[in-house]
Amino acid sequence: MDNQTISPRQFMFLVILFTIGSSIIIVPGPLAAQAKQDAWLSITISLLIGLTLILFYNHMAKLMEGKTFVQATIMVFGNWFGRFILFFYLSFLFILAALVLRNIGDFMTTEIIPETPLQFTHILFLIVVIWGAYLGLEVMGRSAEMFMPWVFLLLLFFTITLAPQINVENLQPFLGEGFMPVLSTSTFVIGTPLLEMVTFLMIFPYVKDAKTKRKAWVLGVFIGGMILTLITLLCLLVLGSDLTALNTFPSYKLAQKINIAGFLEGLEIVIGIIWMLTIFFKMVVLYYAVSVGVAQFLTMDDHRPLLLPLGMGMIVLSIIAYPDVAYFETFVGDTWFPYAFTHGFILPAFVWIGLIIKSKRDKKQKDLSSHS
Amino acid sequence: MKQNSNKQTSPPASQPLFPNLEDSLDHIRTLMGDSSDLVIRSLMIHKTSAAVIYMDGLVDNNSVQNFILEALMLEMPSKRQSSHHLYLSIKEKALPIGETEEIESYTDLFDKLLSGETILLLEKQTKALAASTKGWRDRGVQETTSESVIRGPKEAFTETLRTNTALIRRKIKDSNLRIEAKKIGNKTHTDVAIVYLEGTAETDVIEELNRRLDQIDIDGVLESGYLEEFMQDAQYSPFPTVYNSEKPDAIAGGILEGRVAIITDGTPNVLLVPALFVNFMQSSEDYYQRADISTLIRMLRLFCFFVALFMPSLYIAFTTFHQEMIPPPLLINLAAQREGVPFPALVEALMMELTFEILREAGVRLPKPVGSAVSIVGALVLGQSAVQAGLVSPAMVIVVAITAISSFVFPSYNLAISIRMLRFPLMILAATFGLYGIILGMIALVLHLCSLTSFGKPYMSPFAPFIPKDQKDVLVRFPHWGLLSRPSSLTKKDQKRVDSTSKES
Repeated sequence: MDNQTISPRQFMFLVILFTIGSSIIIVPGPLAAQAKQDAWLSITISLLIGLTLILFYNHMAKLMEGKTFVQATIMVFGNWFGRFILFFYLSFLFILAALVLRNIGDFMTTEIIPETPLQFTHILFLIVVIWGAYLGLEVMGRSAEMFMPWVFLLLLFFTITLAPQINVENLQPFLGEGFMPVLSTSTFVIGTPLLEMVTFLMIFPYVKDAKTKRKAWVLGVFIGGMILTLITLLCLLVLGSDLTALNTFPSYKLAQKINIAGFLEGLEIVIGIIWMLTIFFKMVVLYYAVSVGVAQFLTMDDHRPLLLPLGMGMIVLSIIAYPDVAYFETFVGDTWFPYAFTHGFILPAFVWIGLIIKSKRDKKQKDLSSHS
Repeated sequence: MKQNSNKQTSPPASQPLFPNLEDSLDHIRTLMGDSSDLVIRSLMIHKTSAAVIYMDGLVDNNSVQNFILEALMLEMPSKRQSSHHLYLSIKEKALPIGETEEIESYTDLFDKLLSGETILLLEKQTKALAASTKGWRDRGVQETTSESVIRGPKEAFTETLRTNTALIRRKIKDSNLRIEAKKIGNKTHTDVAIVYLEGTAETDVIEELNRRLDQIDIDGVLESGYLEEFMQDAQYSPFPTVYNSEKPDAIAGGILEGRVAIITDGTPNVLLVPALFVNFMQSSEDYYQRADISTLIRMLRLFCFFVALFMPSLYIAFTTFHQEMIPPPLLINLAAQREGVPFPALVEALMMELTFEILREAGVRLPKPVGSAVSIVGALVLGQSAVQAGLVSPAMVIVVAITAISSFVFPSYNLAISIRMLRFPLMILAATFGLYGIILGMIALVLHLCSLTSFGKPYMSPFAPFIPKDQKDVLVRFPHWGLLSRPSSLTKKDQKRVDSTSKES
């Protein structure tokens, strides 16, 4: 909005953090419930599908010619119908942000600070997110660069300290349930986080260097996906598929297993820090995309006045979004994929077709004008 | 702008010199209010009346006597000359003094007179001569007291601007070293020098610095801190965005990195811009010790940064909210210690931190002989009695002590100050939200740090934005033969530093 740009590397880091954020909490459990010991395989498959999805987004971003999704849709479909479509797109981002906020709130109130009321947990988190979105994209990109080494180091530490407890038998029998459950659960990971990548269509135009930024997006999703695979694999290897499926926060349970020489215990906070950092970046990207999107929707010059009002709405929505964790698990398992698919694929595809038609027409007009 | 305001405050001073010597002297006496340190020595040179004017205490009496008065009174040729010829011959031949200047107005005259030059006025002349005879008592170059080192030069800047510029010149003997002069302060007319290497420092930075300094309209500048507050980028940030040091080698090192130094007359603290976060974590000694130990010490400083910032809040969070994360044997110990303590951990921590801050502040102000008494009282009160009285737990004393010592590790005092301040909000966050609050506080802190700039340079570079090439001299320090280029986060010009063939392999 205020001409802040980020480098492809910063963009890639944001994509990585976005991919890990909140999925690291939700993904392993339901996957292990259905695909059992082959859950890691289904992530790998969905990652492949996800990468083609990113290629599609990339192509779309190319057609948008430096405009954000909101600007491009209004350009293609005009003021009224364009805004009608955008209403759905922006509401998708807003609801997603509220759900992500609830994820961290749920996790915090169940595991780390059980006595603190949910709303205060949400408010404190959102204040920092708003602060980040207020400072703008440049600062978000830079802080992603600051935190990325920490996330990697903590993950490395996590992996190494868990290594002694790995039990390879937990992965056997390979494809014991057949290939179908693996394939059917892969929709889960496509729904979260891969289809959520549609958010970055709001940020992509602000990334410098047209060539490398496409590669950065694909690479970011790939690295993020690999980290998700690693976490799920560790869950399966250490906890086994049954325990993974039973726990609400399997990767947190996993961290409680760390025990080095009897004194280095209780390091679950390590994974807690990774979660908070990654979810923070997912939130701040979503929040920035929503507020910039709404600002462009309302043709405002600056997104900053919108940050606080949107935040108030988000706090309420995040509390009333679902009553309890059980509800959420069904929601994520059954409802989320169709919802994300409509808004993350069908809707952009619709705009994509519009963009193609428009660019063809523009070309024809250009030809005509040059001939005459 | 400064000159305008000068005109407004003292309009009569800006007029040209009167040709009549008596008028002129009267004028000077009136404007100075017959100040007792004003010395006017009237004399006759071949029947032309003349006057030598200087400020007692600001001039070097020897040179005034030997080179001005003696020259004028004893050694002038006895041939009679017109006043104009006399003036010219004095200007060109008579004064055996290095730096003389012509002045034509009273503004100039007072400027020179009050900065310690000697003025020679002649009858019927509208020009006067100012001879540089500056020489007042100063401290001389002494050992640094605030930034001590084990290896490396021990000298420190003094209060005299000229001595300070000389100290830098002696280190960088390059004709490209520029020393630009400015005067800031309507009343104090403080001399300020901007020092940089032409062709190495970025012109944008120099222009921006000049712009910011020219904007300053203030009555007096007594220390470089005045200027710092006017020209720093982040007014409302606990973090410093201007570096200061009183070590000539640190400043010369900064200039070699393409930075710009600002020397203020009257203070040994020299400013350096742009200043990045990492600069405050580095000491000039890092470059004199061997590379491996410097690297280790830099890591240690980073660790101490976290300890100083987070230790008390982590203690509060763990003992209040997350007892399950403490290993059981340690938990039992801690719980047993805290058994008799009537306060919650936050109150305990705030109390101890506050006590320590008081002790530290008192230690700075107290005269040296009393200082040791305070440290004994402090040690006893802090270490022993508070624990025995059951006010605080022994673990808390350890936490406060390690925090305090860690905050003294940083080579620059400004950064320690910001950590001292930020510790308290973090402690409150820890007491209300536990680790969750601390981590969110840390995220907010990093967001804030990443949003800062210093003269257009991102404050957190070369971490964010990440510059791979500059990593050689941030957390690790490569040996000098490996520091091939200047830090590109500070300057993009004149990158080459070391020839890669200069080390025999």
